[in-house]
Amino acid sequence: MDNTPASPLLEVRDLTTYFDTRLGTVRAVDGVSFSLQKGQTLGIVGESGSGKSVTCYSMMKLVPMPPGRIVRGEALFQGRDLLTMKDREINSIRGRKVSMIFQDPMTSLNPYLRIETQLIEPLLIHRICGRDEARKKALEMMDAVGIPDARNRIRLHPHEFSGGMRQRVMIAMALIARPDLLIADEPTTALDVTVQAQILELIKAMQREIGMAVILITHDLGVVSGFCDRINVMYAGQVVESGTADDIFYDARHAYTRALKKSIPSTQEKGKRLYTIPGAPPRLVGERPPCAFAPRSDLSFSDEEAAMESRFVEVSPGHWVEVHPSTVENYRDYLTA
Amino acid sequence: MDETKHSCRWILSMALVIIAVLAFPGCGPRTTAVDEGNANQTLYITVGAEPENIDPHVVSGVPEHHIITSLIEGLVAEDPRDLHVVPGVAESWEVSEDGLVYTFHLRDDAMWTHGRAVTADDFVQSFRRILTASLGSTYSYMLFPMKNAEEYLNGTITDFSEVGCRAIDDRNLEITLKEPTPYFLSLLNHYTWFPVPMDVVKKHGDPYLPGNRWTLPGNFSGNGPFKLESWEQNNKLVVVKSDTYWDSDTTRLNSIVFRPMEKSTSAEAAFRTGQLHNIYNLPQDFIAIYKRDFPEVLHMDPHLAVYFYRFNTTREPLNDPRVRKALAMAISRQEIVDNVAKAGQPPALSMVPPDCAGYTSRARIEENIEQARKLLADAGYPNGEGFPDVELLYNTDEGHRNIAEAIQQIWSRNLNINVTLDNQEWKVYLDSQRSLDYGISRAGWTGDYPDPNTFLDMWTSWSEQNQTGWSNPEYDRLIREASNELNPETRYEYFQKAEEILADEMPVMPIYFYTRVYALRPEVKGWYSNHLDHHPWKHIYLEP
Amino acid sequence: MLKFIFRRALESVGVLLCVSLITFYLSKAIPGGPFDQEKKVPEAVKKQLEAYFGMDEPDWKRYLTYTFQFPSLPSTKFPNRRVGEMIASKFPVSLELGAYALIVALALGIPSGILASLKPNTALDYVPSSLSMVGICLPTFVMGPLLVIIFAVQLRWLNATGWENPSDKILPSLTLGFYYAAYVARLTRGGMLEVLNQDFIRTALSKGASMVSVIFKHALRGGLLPVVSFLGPAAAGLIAGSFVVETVFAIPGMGQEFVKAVSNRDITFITGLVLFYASLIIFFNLLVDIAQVFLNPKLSFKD
Repeated sequence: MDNTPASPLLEVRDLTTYFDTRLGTVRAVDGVSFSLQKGQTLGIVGESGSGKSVTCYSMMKLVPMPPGRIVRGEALFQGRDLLTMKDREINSIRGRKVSMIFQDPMTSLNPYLRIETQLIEPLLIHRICGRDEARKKALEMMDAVGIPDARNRIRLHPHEFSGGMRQRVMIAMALIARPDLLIADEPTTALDVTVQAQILELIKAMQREIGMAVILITHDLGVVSGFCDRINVMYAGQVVESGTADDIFYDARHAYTRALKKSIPSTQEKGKRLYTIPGAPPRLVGERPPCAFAPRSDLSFSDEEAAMESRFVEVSPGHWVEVHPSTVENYRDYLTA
Repeated sequence: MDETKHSCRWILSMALVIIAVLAFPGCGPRTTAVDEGNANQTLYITVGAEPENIDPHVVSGVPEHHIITSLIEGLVAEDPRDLHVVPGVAESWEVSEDGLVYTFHLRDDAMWTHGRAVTADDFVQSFRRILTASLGSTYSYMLFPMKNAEEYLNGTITDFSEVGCRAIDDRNLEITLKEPTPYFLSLLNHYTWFPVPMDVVKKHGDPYLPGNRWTLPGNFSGNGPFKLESWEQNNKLVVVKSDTYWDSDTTRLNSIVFRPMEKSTSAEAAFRTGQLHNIYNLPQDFIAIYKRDFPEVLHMDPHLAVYFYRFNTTREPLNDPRVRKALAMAISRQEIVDNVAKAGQPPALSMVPPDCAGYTSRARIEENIEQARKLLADAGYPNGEGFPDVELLYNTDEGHRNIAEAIQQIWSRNLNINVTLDNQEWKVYLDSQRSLDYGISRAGWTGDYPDPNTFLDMWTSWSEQNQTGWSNPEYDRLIREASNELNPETRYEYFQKAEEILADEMPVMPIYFYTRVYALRPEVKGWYSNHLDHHPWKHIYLEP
Repeated sequence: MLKFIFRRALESVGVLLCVSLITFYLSKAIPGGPFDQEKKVPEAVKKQLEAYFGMDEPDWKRYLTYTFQFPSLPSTKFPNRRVGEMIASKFPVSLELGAYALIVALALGIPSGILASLKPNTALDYVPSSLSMVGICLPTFVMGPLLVIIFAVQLRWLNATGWENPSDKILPSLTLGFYYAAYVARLTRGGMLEVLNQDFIRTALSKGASMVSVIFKHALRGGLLPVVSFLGPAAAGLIAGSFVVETVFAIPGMGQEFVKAVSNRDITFITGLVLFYASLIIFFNLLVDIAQVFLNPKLSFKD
């Protein structure tokens, strides 16, 4: 949880991924940089289309190419660039050093295979142990993630489990090889509220046990509040604010971050209209505008100011903000940085 | 995604391996069936479709003829060159003065393959069998020239001893005819007159009912130059030289393998790759190619058969002979043969093929468009005006369709009339003709025996084959007289007069005489072209 | 599963009864009889033949005889052979040809369908898909003679007709198989494309599975489901024999017989063949349904 400048577990620099579609080139991820230390938890927050998922998929080379294409950037995991790796190399990392869990456990598990088969797969692929040993570990994992009666249920198929149980299975599958980094893409979005908390608790517990880092991708600021050490807020394919949980919750500078905070339902007055951010989601096709959030900002600024380039500024140690007349109040204060 | 490339390469190399394995059998020279046959005097031949049976009393087809004649011999045989009658089981015979009684003297070394000699009684029993209605022989009418044969079949007579055949003793057979039938001896070459070994037939079922299993390999016994070795339905039927045949010294082939071929294009491919010594029917499209590239194997033999159209004389406007004659005169048969049929068929201006047992028709159709138009006008349809709808029927076949379309066009062009075309499946078409449910109908007729009578007695009022609704008492009289006439010249004169009536009233319109177009390898010897397409097997041999 | 099979057997009896009734009435209805020929058959003879084959008996009696005793009945066209014998001697040939063709169809179709699904709308897709289109559009009576011209007549590697040596079996199996391979390829491509777009494929990849493992272990089970459904009636058709392939290559199988029986109006044989073929279809459909339950865990025998 400290910011010791030890060499980071993961360092992403200027990652840029575009999609070539019939309607034009979509700038899904447009120059994203961040770093993650060993054992740290990073939350990536943003609305649909902000590029939060594509960032991580690009890193793991899970983006279908075509139509996707990684234009530039580096993703250094333990010093090696994931983006330039050959298939065999990155396969040895996936499921072993870096695991992922996905949003919809219903469709993310193979309906044709037994749970056991899918659970032991990472162990067999990476030749961590033999089949019998793997089966034992799978049972242990099922217990660890809190699935009752594991012995009997491990031979079932996914459709025989409930949503929450399936997500637990996903977690078991992702962690069975004890990875160094877990990327969780909206792990609770498809689940009941009561189950959401349990799942997050489980991830936290496993993180403590294994000592892995976690990237939690979500659109829900509420979810990251008790969970993440650092938070990146993304909009229109870029990181607009990045800092510790305290920074984001108590010292949010970017207009979008503040608008997000305002949108959390539980913080709003009962009975009154829910706050929504005005305007429409950004267009990701075509020329990159000087600042993507400008059209929706509630701050006042002139057209000249709107045309100015935005800059990424460290406003306090470890707290970075995209600074532009439309995104921060008192823009001039930041000019001296 | 170089993983995919890896998988692709793997799949492609597997494919190459498979192709290499397939190609392997091709390495090195291959001996073909024909090569092997030439070395062993084994003939690989196709005679058309799979035979229904090899029991001469229950079949009616041509492929059956070719196979049965290798296995069974009748009273007489044929000279391979001109088919004149030579001794068979009978080594000699006499005819009575009135031409009604034939006495045959059988040789004593004619043997059945199951071990006993062929006797006169074998023939009598065989005739009885085929004339027993319960057997269900559809060709039994071939025996009707024999006295009381027809009556026995219909049940008018129930005592077979009243039928005109009698075994005088083991070696002598007497046959009495209804009327002097000058072609009787040639008729004996038809398989319906062949004997079967009744003792063997009785062992495998009721001899007078269909379904008797005596012809299955292992059961069969014959008296011909070859004996049955094996028969795999639709695959091949194999016969081998019979050493007990009385003339086995003449037989030079060791074995014949009959392969049924449904498609003549497949037969052509098999011929070219050395699987067969012949193609039974050369597909029309290949004729020009073979003429140019393989003339030494191509045969185009005139055949005793006529291609013609029937007119339904009970329907308007075909009930008017002027209309029928107009239609017959308005076409150019040579044009049709040259451009549509393309197998060198001689145009037919009468119903009897030329030089049929020495008979050539005098009365001929005159191809004359002017005259045809005049006749049509006289009949009330000047320049085709008011001509009612007429339908031209043919059984489904590309060749028949092409000819029908050509004639439709010619009639339209020359007479300004329109006929519509209709095609029906074989059995449906037979039904339509029989029930006179047609306007004009395509037909073909192959002579049962070499004599003009087979082409002319169809048009009598008593013939089941007429199917035109036409009859003429004078025509009937002439045909009847001919069947009673002993003097050949007088007899032919009756036929000529009958043909004049046909030409005058035109109930049927001949178009061309068939040719058999086939291919035969040059090493097949002893094979002579003749208009019945009969090639006695004992004279055939291979000389590579 | 046994209950399922039992229920299916009961249903099949009903189906077969319907089939037999329809066949019976249709055979009665076609114009032309088995004994019709160009040269008119003497009336007395025709009567006798009809009596022998029981055609003068009342309909209900004939129906029962034809339907329930067909193996021992003589063929109307070839009365010295029984229907049961004829089917028994020809069916194995068609079965063999059908089996080889099925193997060819699967061996050619599944890999090319998989390849085409990996990179849709690229050369890797267009080449197998176009070949597939060619296979579907080229009827067997064109493909067969074409292969004969190339491999038998020009190259002299193989025989043009026949079914005796092992090498004779290559061209007919390829001809028949290629046609079905085309369908299998398209179905495989479609099925695989659909499966490969599913989320669980991404999950498998995220575990470090290689593409090969993803295709064969994860995707194929679901991707082949359309092919399995197709295979039921296709297998029955393949095994009942292809008329065209059998006539082109002069193979003594059941396919030829089926068509010839109708033109011959061989009523007893037609009845036997239809019932036999119907049973084959029922049997293969049952096999396919069972296979589907095993392949797709979401289905159970109660469905």
